Amino acid sequence: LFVGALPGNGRVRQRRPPSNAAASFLRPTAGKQNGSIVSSLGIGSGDLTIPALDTALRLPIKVSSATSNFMIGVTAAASGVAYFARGDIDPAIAGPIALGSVIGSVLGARFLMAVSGEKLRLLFVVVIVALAAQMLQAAFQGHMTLHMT
Amino acid sequence: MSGDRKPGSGLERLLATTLQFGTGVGSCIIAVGWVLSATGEPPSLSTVAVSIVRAGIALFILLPALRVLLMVVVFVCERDYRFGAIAALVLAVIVVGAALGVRVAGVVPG
Repeated sequence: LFVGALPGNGRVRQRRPPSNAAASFLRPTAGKQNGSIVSSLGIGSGDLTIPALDTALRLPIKVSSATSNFMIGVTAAASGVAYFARGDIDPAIAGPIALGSVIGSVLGARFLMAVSGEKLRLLFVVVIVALAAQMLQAAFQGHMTLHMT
Repeated sequence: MSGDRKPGSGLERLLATTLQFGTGVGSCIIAVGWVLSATGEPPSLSTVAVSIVRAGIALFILLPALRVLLMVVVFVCERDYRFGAIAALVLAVIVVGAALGVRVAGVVPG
């Protein structure tokens, strides 16, 4: 929830080669498909928004991750107000998480500017695979864990 | 068109400054509240400390909405009405979503 509020969006503009047929087929509905899957699975949107922007829209991976981060912040703002008004946000838990997120995002923004796009994509693949394994495990154990990315 | 906007332009700088300032202030508020609660006599969070931490969290929640609001103002000032309208639509979605959520929160106990 707090990640999107933070500065350090990667301001990188590069052109990738023209997209292939699959990507151009996916492109017009990428946002809709992403939203449908994310809302039905109950996972954080970043995990799927980044591949959607990266693959279907052929954006550079750094632009994808920064855009996804911004989108999470905007969408979480609406639900955040509701949860806050409802009293569902426990300060004893949310306070330390917010501080940790700030520190992590400052480090992450520096890392994003330093690392190459290809390495970043590889790292993201590892994260996605780990997440998929976690979801499978949760599915077989009969309960879902919450993801806040 | 906004596509020509340079990274160091006024809007980017204003947004970056606002977010950095807001994040810094929010972090400080939460840190102060957290330290107060940790050093407080009862092991549980005292009322004042909880209020301070809660204020910091509220600031964090409002920051993205504030960012979008700033974008609306800047786009309109720059006579970029197309992007101003898009930003206004996003802001409207946030406001409506938050209002609906708060209303539901009033109905559903918990």
